[in-house]
Amino acid sequence: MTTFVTLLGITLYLAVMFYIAYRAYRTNKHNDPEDWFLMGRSANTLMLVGTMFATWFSTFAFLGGPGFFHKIGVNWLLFGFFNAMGPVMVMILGPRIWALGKKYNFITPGDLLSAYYNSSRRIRILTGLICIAVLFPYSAIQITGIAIALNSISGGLIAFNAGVLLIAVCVGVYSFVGGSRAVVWTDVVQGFIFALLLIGTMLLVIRWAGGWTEGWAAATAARPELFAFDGGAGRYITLMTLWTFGWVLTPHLWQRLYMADSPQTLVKGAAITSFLALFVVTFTGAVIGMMSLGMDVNMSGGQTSDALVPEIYAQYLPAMGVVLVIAVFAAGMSTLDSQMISATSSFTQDLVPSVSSVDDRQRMRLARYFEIAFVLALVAFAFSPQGRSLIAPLASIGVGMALSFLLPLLGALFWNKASEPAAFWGMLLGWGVMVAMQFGILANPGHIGPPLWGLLVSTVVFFGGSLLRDDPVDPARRSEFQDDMAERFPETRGQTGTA
Amino acid sequence: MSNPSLSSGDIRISESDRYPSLGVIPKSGLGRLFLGWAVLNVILALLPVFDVLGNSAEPGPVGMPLTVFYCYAVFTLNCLLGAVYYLTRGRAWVAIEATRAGEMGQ
Repeated sequence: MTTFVTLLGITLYLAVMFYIAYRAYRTNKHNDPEDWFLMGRSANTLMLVGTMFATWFSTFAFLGGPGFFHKIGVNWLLFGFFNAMGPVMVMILGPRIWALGKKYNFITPGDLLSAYYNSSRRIRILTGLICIAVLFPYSAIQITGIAIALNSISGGLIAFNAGVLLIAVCVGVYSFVGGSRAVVWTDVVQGFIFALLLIGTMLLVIRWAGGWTEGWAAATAARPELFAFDGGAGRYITLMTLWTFGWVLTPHLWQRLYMADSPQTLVKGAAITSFLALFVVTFTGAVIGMMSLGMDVNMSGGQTSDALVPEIYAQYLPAMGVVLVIAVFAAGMSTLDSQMISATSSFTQDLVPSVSSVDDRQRMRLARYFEIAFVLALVAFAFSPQGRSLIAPLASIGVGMALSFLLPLLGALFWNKASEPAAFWGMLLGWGVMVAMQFGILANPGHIGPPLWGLLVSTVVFFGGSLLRDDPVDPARRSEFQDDMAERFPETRGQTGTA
Repeated sequence: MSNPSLSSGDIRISESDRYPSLGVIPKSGLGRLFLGWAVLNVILALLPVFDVLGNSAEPGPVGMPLTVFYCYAVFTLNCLLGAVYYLTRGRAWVAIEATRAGEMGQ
């Protein structure tokens, strides 16, 4: 009976998703990259909040977040800091990125950075490569994570390999058919479901723990050491910095800034997302993960912390198993599809035009081929033990790699002395140091993690190179990106008036 | 594809002292206030990590462990920063864009 209901639930969920993809397909302007990758810059506030929420919060928010709180207690509270501050960064950087994107029809991060730095071909190629390097392992770990969770929650009903194939086919088909419009529309539905499920789970855990005050008292009595910091400041600061800026710099989130239909949508959407991210995602996760320390939840030695929420439901409300399977499936897909569309856009916008001249029609055909190749590569990676051993370290610095964009972006938006060579070498060396340290090629001097070392190298090279070699970008370009914008964003300058 | 016009433009604000220092520190009082607020939030968030303040498993306000309560109170300041930024700068920018769009439409 349970098997039948689980399969029926997944089938119904997929039927709804494919219907939405079909409707999006009918609405899409085919052969128009702006429409395909950014839904024609027409996301309203509900869509933008829904897609930022669902894109950012993958299966990790539902399984990993509470699991981490359960495992390392308050040492995971940084999860709350960056989720509240990330959308604030969107509010500060986003308006300029949105305004420039609309003015110059930017689609990818590489469009903006290369355009500012004298139409630099090497910056476009490097940005495109980093975007794909960020997104590929991140996508692969989504697929394997969902497949493992599905296998565990369904009690082995959905085998790992079957789970990988099922997810790959579903995401591939509906992204291939519906483009970013299908992704955003489904994100709105999925984001609403996640929010309800997280809040509902938190309320149930409080009840099962014996009430608010009693639940906390039992948890602190059971594991007092998890309610005070253990001194791991370096790791805490690294992750806090990494994810605070990573919120806006990951390619699929950056592109959401281009999607807004108006300035009002962007800033209001970011302000709302800040509260939602802190209270709906991280606070519920903290309560579920930490309060359950005082509950009688039996986690066997072989289980990872991701199994916490399924295990709580298995012991207290087994009927929720079906809902969890669908929720995990939906949560993973909503992140994976956005990453796939984003990687495709970097390929067709940044890499292809750098080596060959193609029109929009050819570019969109290549986008479809790339999507198929990307899905096949993800499946091959997920099935390969060697691939999976590489995925873990790469995915753990996925957002760290996106930090390479921070200084060049600040230069393009705010600093008139930034130079093209400094931006290029700062990105390349920062990225290289980060990856080399992560794989042990370069020794980590300690105290902080590889992503923060990479950011420090990038900062020194970018500012040092720009100041030592007085070679700022073309004045006309600077005027369009910065002086003209200063009229619209007066808070960054000290005086107003004309020169 | 991007298509910057590369026109020389009407360069009305071009002195370097009107740019944020190193592209990070704003020149206006309001901009510095927001940056200072963000830095203060970071410092407050790190105090319990270095065991200076708010790091205890003892019950704190509203029945929560002190560390959890303290950290979420500080994180809420991030959301408030965003809300105040929206009310002061975000809405002003929206108004500027609306005026520009109106002028261009005429």
